[in-house]
Amino acid sequence: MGIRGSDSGYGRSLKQRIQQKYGAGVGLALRGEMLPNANSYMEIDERVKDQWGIPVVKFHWRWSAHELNQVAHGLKTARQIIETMGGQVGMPDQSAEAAIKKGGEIIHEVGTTRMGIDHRESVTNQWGQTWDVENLFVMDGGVFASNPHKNCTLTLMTLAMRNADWLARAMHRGTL
Amino acid sequence: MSAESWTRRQWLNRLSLMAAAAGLPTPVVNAVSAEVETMHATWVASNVAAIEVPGYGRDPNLVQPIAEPWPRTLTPDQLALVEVLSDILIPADESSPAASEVGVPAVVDHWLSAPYPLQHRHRLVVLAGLDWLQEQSMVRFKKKFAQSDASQKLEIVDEIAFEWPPQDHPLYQPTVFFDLLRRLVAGAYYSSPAGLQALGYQGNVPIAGDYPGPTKAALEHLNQQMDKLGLSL
Repeated sequence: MGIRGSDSGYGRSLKQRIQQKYGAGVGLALRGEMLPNANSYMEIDERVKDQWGIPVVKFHWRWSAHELNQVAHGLKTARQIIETMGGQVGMPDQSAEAAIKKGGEIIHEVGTTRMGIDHRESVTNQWGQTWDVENLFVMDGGVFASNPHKNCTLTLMTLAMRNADWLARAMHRGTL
Repeated sequence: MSAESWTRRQWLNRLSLMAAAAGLPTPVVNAVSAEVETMHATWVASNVAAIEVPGYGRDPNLVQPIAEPWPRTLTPDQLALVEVLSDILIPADESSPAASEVGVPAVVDHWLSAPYPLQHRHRLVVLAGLDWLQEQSMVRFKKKFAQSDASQKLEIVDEIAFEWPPQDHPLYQPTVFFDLLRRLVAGAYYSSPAGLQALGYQGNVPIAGDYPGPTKAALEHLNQQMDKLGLSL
């Protein structure tokens, strides 16, 4: 419970300010695509094992200049939009490095076992079939080649349906 | 507030009054008025325990809401103080009623008595703030805030309603308190029917029949921008 923004004082002038400012706040959120980069990958941990003695996976993560430049551009543009509207920007200036969320914070994680046309640069082919093991399929968000931020569920389900269809046909044909 | 902390508060205030009267720790020696102006009651943090009742639970029944999901906990004196402050914050004017006329003190009481972490933090600030106001008035005017006259009340409120002092200043915590109370009172007031009317709030308005689309002016503007980009609708 409360009112947006900060105010001071009390009495009739406070009432007038609240009533004048009500509904006049605008917030913009920036969303963008993350491109794959060589510093973001998973591997098997050399030391840590789970309770069954199986080595756990370990993730490496780094934003690249692509994402940071997008954020810097977005901050600048958002500021311009609000100023063009005649508004005042309440948020202090921020560097792209400070403004960008931590990896995984927006919880739209996809990728890691991405699909591709070359077995040296991807884990599966375009049907989610792994290059290394013929009868192993990845039918989830792992095959995304990049992360366009919003919203992965429908694409993920579509890919699963499409790839399941291909898999069923291959089994009928007896090629798998 | 327990008798134990009253004693501590009174002891602290007595000490500061004695020290000021003796002129010991302060270079101000000539004017009594200067001493009075700089005298501040000590902020004593509240240590009331968190309220533990079931409340709404994680999945409240919105079809048949519980009328009183937790008991209100402000004492009559505290509630009276909240009422006075609510009307200082939101007085009646030509177009809308005062906060107390639309039940704001009861909403603030309800809020502060809720069994959740945020409300508990707010309760600690507000309870300590109400006590501080009473004591600040004692230090200044030798009577409690509730008994002081209107101009004396405003003299105290003026010191905590506008400027943010540095964090180590004796008025910093009281200013935090008043800022929080301002948010709670304004939130309660402007969510009441009278407050919503004062805002001119309409909410969602159903449109009968087919959606009429954007206004002519908006459509013209959009078309102009599309033309500039070499696009068309």
